[in-house]
Amino acid sequence: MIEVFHLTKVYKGGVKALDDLTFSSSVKRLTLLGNNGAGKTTLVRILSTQLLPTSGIARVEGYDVVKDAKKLRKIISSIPQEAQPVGIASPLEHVVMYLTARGFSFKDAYESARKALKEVNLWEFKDKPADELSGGMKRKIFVAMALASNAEVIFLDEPTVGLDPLSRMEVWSIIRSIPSKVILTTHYMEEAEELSEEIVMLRKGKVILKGNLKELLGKFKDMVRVEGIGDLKVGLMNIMYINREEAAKYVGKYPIKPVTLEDLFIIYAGENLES
Amino acid sequence: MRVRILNLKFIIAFAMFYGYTYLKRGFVYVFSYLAEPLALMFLLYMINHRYLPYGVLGGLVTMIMGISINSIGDYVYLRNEIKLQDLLVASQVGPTDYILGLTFANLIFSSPGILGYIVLNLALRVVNVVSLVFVILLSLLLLFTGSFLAFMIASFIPQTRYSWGVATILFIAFTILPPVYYPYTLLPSNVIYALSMIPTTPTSIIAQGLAGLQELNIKYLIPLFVEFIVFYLISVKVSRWRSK
Repeated sequence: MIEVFHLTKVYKGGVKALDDLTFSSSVKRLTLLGNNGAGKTTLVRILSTQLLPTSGIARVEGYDVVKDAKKLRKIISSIPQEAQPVGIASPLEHVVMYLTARGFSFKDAYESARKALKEVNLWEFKDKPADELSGGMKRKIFVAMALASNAEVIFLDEPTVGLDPLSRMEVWSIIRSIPSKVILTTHYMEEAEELSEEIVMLRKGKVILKGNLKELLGKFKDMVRVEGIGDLKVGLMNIMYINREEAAKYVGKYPIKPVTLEDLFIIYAGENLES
Repeated sequence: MRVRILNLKFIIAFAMFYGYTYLKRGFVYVFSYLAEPLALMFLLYMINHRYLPYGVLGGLVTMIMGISINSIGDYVYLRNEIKLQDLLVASQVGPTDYILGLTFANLIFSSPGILGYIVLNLALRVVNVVSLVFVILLSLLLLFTGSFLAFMIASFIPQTRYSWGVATILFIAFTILPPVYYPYTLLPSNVIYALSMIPTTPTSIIAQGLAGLQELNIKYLIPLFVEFIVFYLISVKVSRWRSK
């Protein structure tokens, strides 16, 4: 269970990353969605005890992230955004080191690392220095760490960034197989659709949408996206969202598409919200 | 008071992860550690043969200080670029485990150079076996004192690009200014007291005494112990392990 009450984070210099954030979620796979600077990473860092909040309360599985940080750290595993492997060390060395940090014995660490590296198809490269691996393989080292951790709650901050579509799908299938609770942040709508039981969309440090995909898309079920006309500007493209009946007159003139999570992102998380 | 038990398994695993791997796959770095002390030793030999023992003994102290103070760059790099500190904060590792892990890693990786200096000190009869044992113990105290200091400094360096520069400046300030390569008796006593704030000063004074190059001055263990405790407390209590 993730519980966040009036959580605020103001960084040195006055940047407000989280603004009186309140929500709770008890699903097994939660996705935090939002544009750059929405506060996703700040929230994950606070929930995984890496960063102190300015004010408010946050609990993970009943543990307060400030008061019970040591107890909480026993049940969580957190893979930071932009984490990079140490170039000279091998995948096996990375995973074993991480597991000993989580309290595993050497024997158990090796066994769990072996299993996880096999699962992410890195076992045959287990002894290769990380700087000789491809970008996708490097990212999979961290997925293997999370997989092997046996943590009750796993935080994955943009786990598939920079991966090719095939590697991304591979990582998705691994994430789906993880028996632990997974809290994920992503920029990829498809990823959120594939992996989430619940989505929390953030904008400027506040929750602007929360629910499962069906609920979120429910209120737009009679609407479509028309590209090429309308007041909403996305880059050089104008778009508008209108009823299906109304859209009939544009058939053959403009591309018409069903509303997806990407559209909710454009409508709610984008800079156009005020307009 | 609650005593925190160290995560020894992690300390060993990290020392192997970050130290042994460099020894195994990046031996060029190993030689780079030797370059400066060897160059200074050569310079001293050319200027005045009489100062060679100071150069050999000072080379060992310089290597130990180099391991400690150069880890500033490692700490900042691992925190900012690799995000390793974030990864470890959210686990069962504390700052002391991390500092000890990295210190032992750098010790392993520098071990060929340290062994080389030990052999040189014995071969040139700068120290005997008994005094060597004390010099090694003293060096370990310097190593940990310097490592706690390095972690403390690193935690306040925001950008990676500053870290290597700061480490280089401090390395030179900590190994050239204090009486590491010259007899401490050349300095006026008030300057010695002022320089005693730098851990290499009391270490070198005692080491020169243990080697019989100067009179043994055990009282300089006091500032070294005080620095060890103060830097440890600051690195664990004040430094930024969990981000604020």
